[in-house]
Amino acid sequence: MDRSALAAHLRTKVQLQQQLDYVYAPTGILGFDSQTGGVPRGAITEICGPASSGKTTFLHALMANLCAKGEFCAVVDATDSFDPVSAATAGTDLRQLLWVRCSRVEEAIRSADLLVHSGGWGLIVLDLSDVKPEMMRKVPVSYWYRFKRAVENSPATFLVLGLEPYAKNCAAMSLELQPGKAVWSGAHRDFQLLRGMDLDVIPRRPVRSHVRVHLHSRAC
Amino acid sequence: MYACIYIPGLADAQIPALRECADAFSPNVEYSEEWAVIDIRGLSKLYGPPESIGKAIAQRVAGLGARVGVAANPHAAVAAARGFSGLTVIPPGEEGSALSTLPLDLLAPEQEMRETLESWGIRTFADLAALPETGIAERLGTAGVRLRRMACGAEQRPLIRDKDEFVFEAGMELDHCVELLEPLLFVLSRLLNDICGALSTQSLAANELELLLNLEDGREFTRTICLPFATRDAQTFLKLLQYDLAAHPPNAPIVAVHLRAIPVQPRVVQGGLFVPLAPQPEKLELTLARITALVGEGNAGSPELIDTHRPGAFQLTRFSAPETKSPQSITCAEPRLAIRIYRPPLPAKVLALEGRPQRVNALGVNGSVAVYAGPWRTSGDWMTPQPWSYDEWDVALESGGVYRLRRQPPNEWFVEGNYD
Repeated sequence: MDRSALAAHLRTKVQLQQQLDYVYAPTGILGFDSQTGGVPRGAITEICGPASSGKTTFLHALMANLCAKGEFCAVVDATDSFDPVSAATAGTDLRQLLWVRCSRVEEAIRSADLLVHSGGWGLIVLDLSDVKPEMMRKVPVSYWYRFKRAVENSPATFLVLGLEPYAKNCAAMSLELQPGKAVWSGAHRDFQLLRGMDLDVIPRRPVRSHVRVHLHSRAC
Repeated sequence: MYACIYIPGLADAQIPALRECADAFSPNVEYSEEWAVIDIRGLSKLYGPPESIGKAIAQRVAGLGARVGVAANPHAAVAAARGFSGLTVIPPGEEGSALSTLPLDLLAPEQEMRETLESWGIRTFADLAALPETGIAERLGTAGVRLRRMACGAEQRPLIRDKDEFVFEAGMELDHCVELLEPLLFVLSRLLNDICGALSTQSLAANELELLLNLEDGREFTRTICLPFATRDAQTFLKLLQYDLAAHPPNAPIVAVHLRAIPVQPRVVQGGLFVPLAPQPEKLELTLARITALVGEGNAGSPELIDTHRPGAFQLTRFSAPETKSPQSITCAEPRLAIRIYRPPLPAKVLALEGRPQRVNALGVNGSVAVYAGPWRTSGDWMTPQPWSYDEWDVALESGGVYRLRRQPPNEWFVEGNYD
């Protein structure tokens, strides 16, 4: 075995060991939990994808499940896009939710840092879904290492939503959501109703999982 | 031994004088509407026998029109002061004979018992004391037995003192004006340590702290810190004051500082092995204060849906970790589709054919409409200054993305959100 192959082999082994050490929090989505077990606690999970790929739907399902278990969730909303009505419809107990409405990326990152270090949360979400990638590229990589360090000895799940992967190697799980087809009902073009959307979840990290998870979300 | 100072028809203006006289002899005093009973045990070394103590008290209250009674128990002392004029000292063991001629009304029996005793011809302490205790117990119950013992001068009880009113305040006039936050915090830290120490000695805590700053220009600057929980941790209060003053500075030099804590019973928390994780109240409060300093007042909290027909109406309330219910689990094969809201909605130029959107141009949202659904017409609050009325459309663009559009009169289009 040459050096590069040995390095790749060892890297995979280390990642495998790290994955085995995590405790996973079920998202409440049957198709996803049966394939992956959920999202890891004490680690960063990154969900990236374009608009209408299902990131927020995924987030609301996870939040509803954790709130039902009695845990507290915090959403740091970098662009003030969170819809409490959608969250309540998905089953989230809004009394167990802290919503931080930010107007700048810097406020969002500092608020998330404060929450991660305060402890006691089951889920901390840094929602950067509507932030332009060129703005996020100005954020130093060290910030993500700081988040990783802060969360790794806690039972909290740190979830990052974005258009691109930002945490990269600092994330224990990285999911790419690809926009699926919207499902409409109604025979005539002028009398249609949005029924839901197909979601395509591709786990990019951990490397060992090459399964695509197909989900169908249901509109209200 | 106990001494009673009785002032018939005690006026409000005489109360401070009565209290001063009583407190001069003992801290253990019981007050009532017209009398004060003093515990004079231990005063013999200062004043001598009970007669001397009684004379000293009578001298002290001279001019108030008071009567003084000294006896071995509070009831006998009160009866002696109320029944006889001047100073009455009853040696221990002679209460029954000394009080025998006093009328029964001084014992203040209940109306029904008074009528019963009067019907039996019982008029004085001696008449009641002469009755057998067993017979009284059978006919009048324990209340009757107690009344008889009081008539005999044998009923013992402890004094019921007024609850001391503790005031948890601290203040300081500064030698020099303070303009910066850091030196002010140094002063506040010292005052908070005093207040929290006082709270600790009384086994109390505080959930509200009032800060009053006297400014150089004569104004008063006040801030109030309210907590959803009670604590007596000076550091927590100091940090909260620091964040609050940083966000709301007085804008003038400070010449005096005054702090006041509102005392409450400390919270009792029963932990459990299987209780879900929750933020610690003190840490949570500090974290929320720091986040509020970052994002501004009113931008961090729990969303609460408002019961109104206006779509998406909500308000932010203060976040406090509620008591959680028993853990459950929500699983679903099909998660509910969520929408992300643009605040404010994005102004859009929409090419519409017969009122149906065909093409959308907005910031970051551009493309031809592949599928549309709508319109859903909604309106409300017509009688208020802020009515709303608009049509909503769900559209899928050929370039990708499913959005919600809004058209409001006269013909303004907005992108309200995107389904994600």
